[in-house]
Amino acid sequence: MTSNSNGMLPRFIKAYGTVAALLFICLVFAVLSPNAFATLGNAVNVSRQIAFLVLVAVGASLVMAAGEFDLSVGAAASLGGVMAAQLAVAGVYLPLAVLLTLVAGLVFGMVNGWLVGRFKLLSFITTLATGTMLAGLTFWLTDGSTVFNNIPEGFSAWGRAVVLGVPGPSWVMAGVAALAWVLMHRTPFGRQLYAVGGNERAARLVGVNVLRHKVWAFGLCALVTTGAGVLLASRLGSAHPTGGNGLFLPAYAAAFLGMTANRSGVPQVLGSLLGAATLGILANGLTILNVPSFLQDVVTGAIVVVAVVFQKISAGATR
Amino acid sequence: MKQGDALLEVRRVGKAFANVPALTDVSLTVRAGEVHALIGENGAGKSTLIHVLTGALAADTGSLLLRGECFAPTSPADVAASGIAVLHQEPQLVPSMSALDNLFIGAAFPTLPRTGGLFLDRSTMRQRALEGCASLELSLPLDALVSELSATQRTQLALLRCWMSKPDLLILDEPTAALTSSDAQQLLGQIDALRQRGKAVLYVSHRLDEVLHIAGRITVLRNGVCVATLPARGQTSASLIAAMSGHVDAPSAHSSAPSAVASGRAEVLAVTRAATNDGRVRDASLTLHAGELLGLYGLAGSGRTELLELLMGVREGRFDALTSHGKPVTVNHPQAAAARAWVLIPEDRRGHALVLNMRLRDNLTLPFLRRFANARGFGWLSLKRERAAAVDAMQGLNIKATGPDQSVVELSGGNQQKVVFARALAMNARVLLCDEPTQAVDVATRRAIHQLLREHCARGGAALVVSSDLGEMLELAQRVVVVREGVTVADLSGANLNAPEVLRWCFAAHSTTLATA
Repeated sequence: MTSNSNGMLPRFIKAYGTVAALLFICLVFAVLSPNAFATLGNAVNVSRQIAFLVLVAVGASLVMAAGEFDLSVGAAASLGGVMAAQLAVAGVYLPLAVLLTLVAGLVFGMVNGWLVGRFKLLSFITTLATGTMLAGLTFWLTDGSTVFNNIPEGFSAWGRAVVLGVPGPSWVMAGVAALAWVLMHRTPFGRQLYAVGGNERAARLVGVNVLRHKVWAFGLCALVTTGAGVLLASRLGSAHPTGGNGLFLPAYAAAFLGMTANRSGVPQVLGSLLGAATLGILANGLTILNVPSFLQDVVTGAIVVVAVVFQKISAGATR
Repeated sequence: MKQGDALLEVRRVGKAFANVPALTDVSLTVRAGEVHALIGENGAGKSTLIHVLTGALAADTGSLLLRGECFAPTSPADVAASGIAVLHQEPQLVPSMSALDNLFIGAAFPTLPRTGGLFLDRSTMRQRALEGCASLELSLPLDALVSELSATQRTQLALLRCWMSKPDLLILDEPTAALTSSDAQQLLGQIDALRQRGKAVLYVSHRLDEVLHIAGRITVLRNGVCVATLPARGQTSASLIAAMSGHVDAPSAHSSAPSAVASGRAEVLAVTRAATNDGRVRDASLTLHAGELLGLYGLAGSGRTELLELLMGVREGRFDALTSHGKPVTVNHPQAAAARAWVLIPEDRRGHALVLNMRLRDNLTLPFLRRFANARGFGWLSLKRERAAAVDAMQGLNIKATGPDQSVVELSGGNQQKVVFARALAMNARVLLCDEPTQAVDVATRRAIHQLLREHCARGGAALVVSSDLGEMLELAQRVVVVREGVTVADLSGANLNAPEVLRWCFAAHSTTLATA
């Protein structure tokens, strides 16, 4: 079926192009700024900076694997920070505060998945609507102001912790990414989730419970996303009602970038990690080179466009 | 162009797909002022010929002449520009737009004068539509959305759109398939009105009574060959069926022993008076026994696929009774069917059976992944055991691939179909519901699938097989249920099971009596 006459190079580019691009970016920064960029300290720094982004991107890729989109991740992350902070201020035992927040996120996501799966709604519209509701609720909870007064000391412990030289958020990122990888690639649930995303009708016909998979995909996405919000608030020692919104677009950019990193063009955990790393390293390197942050957004967007165009072209070449 | 002049000539047209001929040497002439019918059983080549005439396919050999000049359309726009309008079986309409707007899609929308063609001229649109309605004696709600129209109104709207393009030749492909007989009568009247105005009409239909009623001449296709062009006068349904099937006389005693059907064997699946909510299946009953390979035959659009989907719980509907081994069962979801080991082999392999962006082994093991999940270790998949099972299944059916990790999209059609069958067997299917199981596969695979179905039944499994290929059906099945317009009209076996008899039931005039063998 596949012609191999000119297929080797595009195949290689499709499989490793994104990795190669990342290495190239690192090389450029290392040459331009050897003393600031190419240091172990900076690498650790980047890992902490991208931790929140990776969490949201991993959540988003769970939903994308099922062939859907969750546009409420920004709102869920914002709620996570605010809810955990407010519970902490109210004197709730800290682990319980975090647990309650995560459960709230899980339930919110499961409702999203149920609406989408049960009524066959467009997930775009559904999560836009529920996300808007959640954002409104978050504002209402906080009266629109940042939660930072009377937050107990312990609240920031993990966000600012350093264990074995590695920041707390980086540990969480690594742990969640590893769990998500196992779930997606080593369990029946994950395999069936990809089948639902690849051909929902075929999956349904062989007896896969499509609704249940969608409910859990959205649920886990919101769980992880809410967790990212908690972690971000912990890191900052405060929670703003729109604090998580900034994670939404970069997380999808990371997931899309990650999809270009594998041959089948489906969202994968490692791909999203790679995508987030690319974006994080880019931001870090450009900051070190004193490029204004507005221009960083321009570069980030351009990279995503180039990556997806490239993938389309090479996909065409291998068919 | 005068009445009776040759408008379209098809000269010795041939077309093959991957060396399998679909049309060999087809010639016919459609004259102005004539309704020319084109008939033939499933796979006779009608659709291929229509595709050639409408520019969707290019003929390999032969030529087309339109008004005496060479005609080689390459796109729908070419065809329209040549004065040919096509009415497809499923009218090509935009459901979310009004009837009026749909009339002008593809044609030039009239625009207000002196605005440089920027703004629609709604009043001219309406006026032209009303003129068209008047000349066809139609009344259509022009402001209604197409989604609000009945099937008849949609067909009428599509016919009106054809008419408004002022064609010389109308090609109508099963225009009455979705209509009740009284609505069909009305449409036939409108088509006859077009003919009287000097238009040529090429009319494709399975409904022989309509064909006899409306056509001047009838061309019969069989196996891609033009058997005859006959004047409609003097023909009967029986003579047309004989021409289509190639058998002059009906019962040629079937030599096979009085089939071992029924008597004593367990009923693994029995359904009475099944109907789908969308009306594609209206009254279907059949019984499937252990060890039996039952054929379900019907013309395209007769509700074969829909009946299988209803039994699988994919399509919504109801029945008086659905039993397995004499006990009532509920199958309202594919999971319930899977739990009973009823497995569908869908007609649309790429759309409904396989997940194309996944590997061969992913597709094979999808329904029973839990078998490879370790009891300890939180249900991790044992990839080693999964891969071994996939390799086993591949070897069992001799699937040709680089390995279990090859992307399924890279396999040939025949090997893809084998993957679907291998999966069904690995699911320990008791009842196989096969929809066109050998469609678009090579000869060797076709033989392998036949063999596999026979072995499955010999082991005590049961299979309900839909095939458009009557020859295949007669070769495989000891008993065939005929479905016509959503109704099971005949249950044939033994001496009654032969091609003319099956076709007679397919084409018989509206009849709902159930003949038993």
